[in-house]
Amino acid sequence: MNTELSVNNVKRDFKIAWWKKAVLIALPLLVFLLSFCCGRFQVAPNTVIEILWDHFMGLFGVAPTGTYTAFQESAVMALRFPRIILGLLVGAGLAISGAALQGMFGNPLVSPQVLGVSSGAGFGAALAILLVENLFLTQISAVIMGLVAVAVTFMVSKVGKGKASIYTLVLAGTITSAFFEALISAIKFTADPFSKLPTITYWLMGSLANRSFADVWHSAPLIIIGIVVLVVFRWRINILSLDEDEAKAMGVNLKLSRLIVVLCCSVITAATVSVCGIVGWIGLVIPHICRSIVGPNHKDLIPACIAVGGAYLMIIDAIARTVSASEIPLSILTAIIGAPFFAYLLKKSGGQWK
Amino acid sequence: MSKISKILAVVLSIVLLSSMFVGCAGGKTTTVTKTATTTVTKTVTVTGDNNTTTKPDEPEVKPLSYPYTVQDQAGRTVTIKKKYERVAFSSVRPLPATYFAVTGNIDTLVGMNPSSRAAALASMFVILCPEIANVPTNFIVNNDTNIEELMKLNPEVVFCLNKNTDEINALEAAGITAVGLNTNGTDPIELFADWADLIGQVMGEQNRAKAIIEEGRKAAQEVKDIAKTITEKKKVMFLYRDQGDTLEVAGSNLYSQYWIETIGAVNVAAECNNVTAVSMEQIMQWNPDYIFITTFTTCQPDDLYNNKLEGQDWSGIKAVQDGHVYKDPLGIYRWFTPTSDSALMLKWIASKTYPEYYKYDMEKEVRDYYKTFYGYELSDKELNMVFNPSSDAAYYVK
Amino acid sequence: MKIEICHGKFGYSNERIIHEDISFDVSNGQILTILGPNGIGKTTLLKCITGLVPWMSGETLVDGVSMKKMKHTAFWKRIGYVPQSTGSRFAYSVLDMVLLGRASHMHVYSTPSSTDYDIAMEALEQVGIAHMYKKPCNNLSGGEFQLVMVARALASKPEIIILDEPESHLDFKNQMLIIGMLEKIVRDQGLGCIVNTHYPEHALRLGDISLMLGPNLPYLFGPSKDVITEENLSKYFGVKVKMLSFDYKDKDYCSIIPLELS
Repeated sequence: MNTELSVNNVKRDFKIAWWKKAVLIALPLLVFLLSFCCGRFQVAPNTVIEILWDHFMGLFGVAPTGTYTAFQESAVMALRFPRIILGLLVGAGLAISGAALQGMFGNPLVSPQVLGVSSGAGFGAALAILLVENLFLTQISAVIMGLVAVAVTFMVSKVGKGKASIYTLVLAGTITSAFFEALISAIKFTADPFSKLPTITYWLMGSLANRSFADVWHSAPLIIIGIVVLVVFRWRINILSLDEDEAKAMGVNLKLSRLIVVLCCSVITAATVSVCGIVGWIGLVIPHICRSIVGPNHKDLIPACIAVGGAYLMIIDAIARTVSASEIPLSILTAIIGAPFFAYLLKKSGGQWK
Repeated sequence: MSKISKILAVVLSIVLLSSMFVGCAGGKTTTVTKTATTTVTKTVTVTGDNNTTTKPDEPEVKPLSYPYTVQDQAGRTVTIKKKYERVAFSSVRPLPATYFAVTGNIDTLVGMNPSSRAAALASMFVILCPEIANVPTNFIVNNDTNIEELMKLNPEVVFCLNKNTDEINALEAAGITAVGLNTNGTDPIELFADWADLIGQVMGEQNRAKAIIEEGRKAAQEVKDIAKTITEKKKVMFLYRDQGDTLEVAGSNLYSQYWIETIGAVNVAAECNNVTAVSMEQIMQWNPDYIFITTFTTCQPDDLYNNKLEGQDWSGIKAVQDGHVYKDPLGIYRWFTPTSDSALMLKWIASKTYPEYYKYDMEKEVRDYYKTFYGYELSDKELNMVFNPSSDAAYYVK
Repeated sequence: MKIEICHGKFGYSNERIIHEDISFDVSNGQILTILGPNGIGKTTLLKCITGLVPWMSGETLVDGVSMKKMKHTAFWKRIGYVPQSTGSRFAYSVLDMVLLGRASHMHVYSTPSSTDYDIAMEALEQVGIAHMYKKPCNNLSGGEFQLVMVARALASKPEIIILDEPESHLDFKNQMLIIGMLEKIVRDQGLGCIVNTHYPEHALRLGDISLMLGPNLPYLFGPSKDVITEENLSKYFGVKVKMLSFDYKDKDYCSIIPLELS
């Protein structure tokens, strides 16, 4: 074999540039740490460091040494910490779901909303807010209805076999989304316009306000499991993006593989909606950004999405809770930033999805 | 200005000047214990587009010859055709209670907003008028008036929000007299005055209205005078709603601004407009000295004192540490908004925030007020209910 | 290894039967060329052979074992499939695309190893496009992409490779290349080959056995020289031809010249 094309050279050519890797690892870490300094309550950066350090050392049984008030500690550890963790998980989860679904459908315009999960989960949450005022039940309801919506999509899509199945899946997803959106409207219509309706509307727009560690425990397991499975499975997603016959010819159990991907994405998305409301644009735009950094091979794309998606939402949430006295809903910010950026990407790439 | 108006103005001024030396006149039995006593009797100059002015101490001259016209708050000239016996309120939730205060009974009330009903059932209104529970509300769905359902109740006059032009037109087309009321404004005393006066004119009964309006203005002036002497600006916050996932405060451009500023304090949430969702951190940053929780939410002071709410930490807030968290009382209606109890609200919030300046005996104030203006003697239990409202008043339909 | 089709029958409905009771077989070291006019169902036949589309009746046997009884991965480790090129949606690099062919040899949770990279590069060498390994697939011409797909099938080291009209989209030289490559891997590595082709000349050149299909005509299966005759071509394709043979470097070559529609 030609020595120039020896395996080592080839593999080296295909490794992501070391500096890119460094940035992708450093970015979410940096954003994570800096987020602790963002919030309406003024806490000086060195105080934040003291608080974090004490808590970190506290894990090893070391007594706290910093000088800060209980108030400041509370702001950093009880109010900001859960939000930052959730921002990381939700951002990473949605980005990775978007990437996996775009790969599976072979369509770069697909987002986690495509199968109706978000609409179903939104309906579940709205229903719970209408009937009971219990946050935990709202979250459970969101997850359950999100998965029900995906099941409905699957049932609706079973019209025949063959090449049409991917397209019928997308169509069925559109139908299911529309249906649950209509149900959400019906709930809004019957809700008390003075107290329930504003709560439902605000919730649907997405927010991490008032999130505590309890919410982290409720949603993190689902999101993390989904992410882990997709990471393990990431190289196979390349195969799912091929034509059906080609994919089958690689020895892949197409039905099972698709089911796994859809299940993971649905669980992740439903869990994010349960804890955060409906946050759009991340699942659609972040995979594209990552493709332009590491290429379309899902082996590298999926991990990149975790880093960039997580960092993105942590930044967005930091903005949402700091820029003004009133909390800005997340989906407003992700859209205001995401849409123009997507337009820019579109123009730059000339329609070619690199 | 026409000749007659000129004469009227001169007569008015003479009466005004003489009243100042005469002092309090009939109809007012409330006494205020404070350091400086200045009793000012203002003439009831009706704001809005109404031109009739009357003198405070003289029996009202009622033009009982129908029809006559009044100017409503939607800029319309409304013809009052007769003494109405079937009245409905579709929007503006404090109105049924206002109506009761103005007319003294609810015999003629045939329909009202379900949110008003919920408030009525949780407040003094149902104690004063048990029949309020039977007033139909089903013609309102999702805060919209179903005209045909309303027509089934056969109302003769309907009071609604001045901005609901569609509803007003539909009512007129159905042959029902529509009267629009304005809710734009931050001064609850004056806003209530507008409502009471207009309702009084429409119903052809203005005595009660005038008395309460005057009482409100008197209280406002008293408080303002004292407020001028206060130099320490205490930080006050109205917690509008804190339940489930929602944390909202009442900012400026809302009644909260009036309640807080009039008594000489400062609204920490003034940078927010109207009702705004904020983060716990923002509240920590403001660190209010006093917190007043409205009756629009199920939240109670205990929830803050015991830090029961997930994702929020109230323990470091000064108001919580000093024990200065109060639930707005619930009298005839929610005291946050303009009501016939507004004079009491002003005195109450003043005495809570600056007890060293405003020395009102609120229990006595409330008892006397209810006796005078509603003709009702509150029992100890009922008085307790006023000052410690349950969380139920927050709900829409019961 | 031997693939056998036994009385295979396929149709989209009872009215539209495409293949009626067809039987043939291919073994290692053999090249089976399938000929027939457009729309006769050549691609469908390949899909039925591989199980991508199920037979209505009859079956595919692999070494005597019914394909239906075989494990999915086990089947595809031994069979490689190269469909008609449709271009690539995503801009995977050529090497990444070829690496996908290693899937049947990898664990579900793995990513390609050094060995896999090795084998993929070898496959690219075999089809002669190793120098393009970094190029994104959607920048390739139709012919180049076809070669990538062949390399991908070869990467899974199959015993029998099935190709659907591989010479389409290829220029003259690349056609030679493909034909030469197919001959080579069959002779040198003992692979079996099933090829759909529009070129009877290639079929003759590749030799071995052929299957000819025609509208409302019985299928012909047998040695290529016996199946591909002037008479059969006229009957099955509706074109009158002249076949001319000649010698070149001690090998028989045959040229087929179309004369007129018959």
